[in-house]
Amino acid sequence: MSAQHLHSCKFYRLPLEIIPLICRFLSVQDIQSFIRVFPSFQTILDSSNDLFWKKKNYELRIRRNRLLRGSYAAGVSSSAMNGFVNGTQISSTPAEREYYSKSDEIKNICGLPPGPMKVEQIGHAIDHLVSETHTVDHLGSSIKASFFHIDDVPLEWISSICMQVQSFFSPAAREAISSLKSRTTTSNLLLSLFVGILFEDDLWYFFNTLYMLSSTSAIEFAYFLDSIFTVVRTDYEHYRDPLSQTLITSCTRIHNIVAVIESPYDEPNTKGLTSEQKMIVECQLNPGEVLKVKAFAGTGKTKALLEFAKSRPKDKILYVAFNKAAKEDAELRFPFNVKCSTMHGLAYGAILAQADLPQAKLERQLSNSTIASLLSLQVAFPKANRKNNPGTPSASLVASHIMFTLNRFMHSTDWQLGFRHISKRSLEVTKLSKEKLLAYTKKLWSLIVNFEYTHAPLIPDAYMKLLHLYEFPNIFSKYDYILFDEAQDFTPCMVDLIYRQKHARIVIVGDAHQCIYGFRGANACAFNENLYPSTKQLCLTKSFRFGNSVAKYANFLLSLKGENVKLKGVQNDHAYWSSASNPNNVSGAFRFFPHTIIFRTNKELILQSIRLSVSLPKEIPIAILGSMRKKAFQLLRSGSELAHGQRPSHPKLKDFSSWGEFEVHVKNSAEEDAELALVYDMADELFSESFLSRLDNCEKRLMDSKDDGDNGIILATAHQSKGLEWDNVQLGNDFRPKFDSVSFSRIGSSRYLQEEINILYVALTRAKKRLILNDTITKLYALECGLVRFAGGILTEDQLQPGKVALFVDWQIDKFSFFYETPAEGYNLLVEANEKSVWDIFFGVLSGAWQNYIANTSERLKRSMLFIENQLFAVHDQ
Amino acid sequence: MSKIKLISSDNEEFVVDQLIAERSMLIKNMLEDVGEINVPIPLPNVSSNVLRKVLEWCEHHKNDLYSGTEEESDIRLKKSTDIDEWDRKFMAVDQEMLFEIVLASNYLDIKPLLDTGCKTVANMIRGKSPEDIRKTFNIPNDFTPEEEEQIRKENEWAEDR
Repeated sequence: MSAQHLHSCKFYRLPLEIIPLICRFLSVQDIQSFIRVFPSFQTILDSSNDLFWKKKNYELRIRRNRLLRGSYAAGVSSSAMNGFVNGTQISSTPAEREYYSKSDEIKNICGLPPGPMKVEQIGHAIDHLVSETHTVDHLGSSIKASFFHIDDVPLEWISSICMQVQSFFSPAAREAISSLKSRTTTSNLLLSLFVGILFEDDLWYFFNTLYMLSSTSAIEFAYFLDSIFTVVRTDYEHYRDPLSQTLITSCTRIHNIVAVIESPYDEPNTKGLTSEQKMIVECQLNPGEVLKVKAFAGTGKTKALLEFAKSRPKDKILYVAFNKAAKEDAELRFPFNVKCSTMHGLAYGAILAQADLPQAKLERQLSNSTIASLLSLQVAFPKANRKNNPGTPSASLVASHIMFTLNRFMHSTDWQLGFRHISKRSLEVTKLSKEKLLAYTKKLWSLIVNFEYTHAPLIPDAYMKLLHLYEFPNIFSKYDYILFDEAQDFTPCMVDLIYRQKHARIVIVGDAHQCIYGFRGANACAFNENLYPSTKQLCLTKSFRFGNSVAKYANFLLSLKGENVKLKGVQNDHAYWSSASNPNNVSGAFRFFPHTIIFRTNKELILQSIRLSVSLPKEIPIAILGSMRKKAFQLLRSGSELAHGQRPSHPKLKDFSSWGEFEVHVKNSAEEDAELALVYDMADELFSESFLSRLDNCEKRLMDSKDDGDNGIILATAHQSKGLEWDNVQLGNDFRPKFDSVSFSRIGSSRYLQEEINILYVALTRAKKRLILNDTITKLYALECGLVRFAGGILTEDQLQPGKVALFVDWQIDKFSFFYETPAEGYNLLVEANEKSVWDIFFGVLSGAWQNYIANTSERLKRSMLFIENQLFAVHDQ
Repeated sequence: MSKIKLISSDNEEFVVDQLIAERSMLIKNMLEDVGEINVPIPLPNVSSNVLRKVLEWCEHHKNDLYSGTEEESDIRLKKSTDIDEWDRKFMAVDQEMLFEIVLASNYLDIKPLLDTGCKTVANMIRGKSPEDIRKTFNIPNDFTPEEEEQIRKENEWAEDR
């Protein structure tokens, strides 16, 4: 809604607290219509106490209807639904009364006393429903109960399954199951599954166990848990604030199960496409129309595009890829009517068609020293000056800032160079006036675009910008469709150029969350609906790469950024191993599988490869992915020379006479040069004497290990790993930010933090089978999903002190073994149980500090984090 | 009976009986806090034409029993749809004024008037489709069908099935 509308609309002028007051006088249907007109009021209404009961009642009615739809309608007649009053004494409004009559009815069927319900009573309810052959309805007459039947399965079998299920339990779950009583074997099984679903991370294992025995009972069971949890949650909210985090997430877990049951199974059709992909292939577009496809990681977008092209054999299609590798890959796959190209390739062709340029003009690189000589910066910033005046910038430093300014112009959609392309930092570092810096930049630009002047090469970004400024008519005009892949990685300049092609049908594909090239000017503006409105929007959310476990963490990360669309994994492929799961699950036979470790920084990559080359047995090959493989070692050797006062031999470092000069340059230069930054970051190591020998040792090890196929270890950075996938992925511990209590609250407003989340998301979604999480996510996730659930996931029995319960375990992977080893010192937080049962802790009634319930989730998370941080320090200090 | 001076946002002065002014909890609490007051009370959030209207309502309802307790507001809630004849006529103003009255009664903390205002607004919404609501309040529909669907999904709790 535009600002003008906002202004004219009376509702937005009202104080927010009045909206619920108005809605008090409306029925639920009216409120629904109201929210459809004013979606932004949704959150206000959700948090309003006045509407709480209305909402509750509807929730319960829906759940109950679903339950009735299931098998249990037989016993209870529908007329029995109304009039049963028991909890009514304590309720005052009609909506509240209505709600309670229904909740009492459910309690009655389950053989529970009326009144507030506790979560452990669910155990009793399950036992009652399974074991009693007859139950009493509210009129006192006996009706036949038939709940959760598991027919045709021998009892011995059920009890063996039961034992198997319980063998996976964590100590907390084990304690929980021991406090529940069961009268029959079936009820014992159901109770075990119930506890498993509540306490264990891998809830699908427990649900699927039941589903394989009897699918109808499993669905019935899920609906039952869903409705009973609505009752527990409401009772809890009403009688005992605060509601614990663990309980909230338990409810969402059950909701998730029900949601999966209800979502129609996504059956691949004859072509092997999912329904989401099919919608893209069958999408009809007219010239000038735009289809935007939000494709999450590993959701088969290339396949969808391929089918899209195949189903339009008569049309001319242009496929624009981000880099050369992707283009070459596409050329092999796409049919003949598709022309595959990179954006730069298109621009290059267009420029060559216009002018016959000599090879020298088409050089791809423009170094700082070339810029300096082109603009005669050496004269303006002589070296002699710097001897007298140490603060004066060097010629190459000024050159780098001129280039930076020019890059900002070339990546933007602006028509002219202007002050807006100059960053504040450039002015501070170069000590130039903005007019002067702009004049230099304009001069450089004019030299670059002067086709006669061969000393200033026409770099790729420059001819890209030329194409944007002076459109050459015939390069796009012959295509009916333009498929724009990985659109989030393109600069605004390129995106604008594509959207300008009004004659064509444009398909924009990509994932805004995978935008990790912010430093190159990409900002995912292709997905900005305000800048470039689309005719249609579709989503690809079903991943072919990984299972639900990876999807869960990916969704969790994206939810931090406010993404609502949920990524789905492949159902039957959720084999997954994180540090959180029981190490015994991985048998000794797989001592080393092909194992990939993804780091955030090159520094950590090199450090870990040095570490691994020492600690790993010789027969295990180690490989570094990408260009750093060879470059890094030469660079670091040169860096070490520089650090020890020698003249470095590497071309990139040749110009520096001392470490101090190098340090100043890296600190002040406009853009982070990955290679120089690596040398700078490694300063501590470079100054140490033994580093070179360790480096040599590591390089030799890398050279020796040729085979990186089946049993090796691959090291990569997140940026390099984009677009690739591996079976087993471990995340390094150097991902920024550390998501402490402060930065967490700033995610919404900080582009830096959002990009860091994107990077983490890219790294995380590379995993196909097993994902080994790093500390950061594990900690975050444990906090978000309730603490007790993970209690004792790692602690062995003898580590658990009697009378204490482990509430939070900060998993350590820094030992860097692929097997989980419990750190001897342990970061475990043991809290005095004071003879409370595990159920009490589950509800957070243990002590005041655990009652960190605040209405807003992120606020709650922030509080929990602070609490945990304090606790951790307390534990360490002792 | 003592008189109170009120000054609206556009500097018009109103002289009213204390009893009438005290229908506003804001003014009542203020008077209780400071005791006798001779200087006019400024009401910077209320313009003169709105204040005149609000005082008209207070004048008419000055003898109503009104304790301001939760119980009372529950009773008012129960007879949710009916607004008494005088109030209905009183509220028969243009939308601009109606919202101004709601705003002013919220600011002045006059609960019964606020409820009446909210009821009137609610009556304008009741039983209407989203399209009709948009027409009533003159709100352009700038959602795509997909967005509409999304909003509908998010509000499934409110849907009766």
